[in-house]
Amino acid sequence: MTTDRLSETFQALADPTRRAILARLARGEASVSELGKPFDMSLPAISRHLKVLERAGLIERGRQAQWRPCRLNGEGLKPVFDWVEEYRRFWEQSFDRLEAYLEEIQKKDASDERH
Amino acid sequence: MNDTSAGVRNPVFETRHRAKAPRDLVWRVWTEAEHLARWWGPAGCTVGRCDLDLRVDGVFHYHLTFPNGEMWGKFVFREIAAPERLVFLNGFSNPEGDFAQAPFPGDWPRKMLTVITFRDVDGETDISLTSEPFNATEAQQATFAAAMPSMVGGWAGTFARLDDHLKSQSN
Repeated sequence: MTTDRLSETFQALADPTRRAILARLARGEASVSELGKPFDMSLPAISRHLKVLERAGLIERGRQAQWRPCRLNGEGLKPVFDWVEEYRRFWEQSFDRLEAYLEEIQKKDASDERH
Repeated sequence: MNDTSAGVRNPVFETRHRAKAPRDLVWRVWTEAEHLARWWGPAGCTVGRCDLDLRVDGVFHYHLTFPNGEMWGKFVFREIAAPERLVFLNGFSNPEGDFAQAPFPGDWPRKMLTVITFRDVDGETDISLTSEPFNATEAQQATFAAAMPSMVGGWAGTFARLDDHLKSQSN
């Protein structure tokens, strides 16, 4: 994924309404009017948010002209998840190394005391 | 606006570890360079440069090498309360010791604010760690939030499911 595409992802995520739409879609696909219900917002306004999400690759829309269900595109969010996974791995693996090191120096202390 | 977005709090990364060693020893291996040089960093890395100046505003600047790469990182200490609490800003750095952009593309926060607490539990040590983006833009906060399946608040359940969804897609 290019940096430009990632910037679009970040821009799309910066808006609370769009985050709420994504949260709704994480539960399953929905139509524009279903997505509009929880918000005090016109359908054209919701449609504009959907366009931003679609351009950022975060959602996909069905082909039928009347009923165009929106669904989440998991691939669009993957780079975002990858980063936090990397951060988690860094700390958890450091803790594992800490544990091995603590065991090593405590064994050494115990054997030093015996001598 | 429904609860899903109204409930979004500052996203916080959390992890815990129970170390099988007394708290004073755990504190020492976290705060003395000769110890850090022997365990700091993820699996498979070797600690090269390991400069530690343990005082408020002091810096821990380190270099890690991996079989397929390297990284520079640093902490700037904000609070040091032996033997129970360390607070610092952390992030990637350059070899000169300035905070630097992450070595992969994207608009990530440069600095994380991390709090580590060490709690004595029957002679062992419970270590808990929280991290959150520091001085991040709204887009960076949102991005971090979207990526935090375990965080508290309205997003937690939703994004845990999303995470499962992503895993099932990649399989």
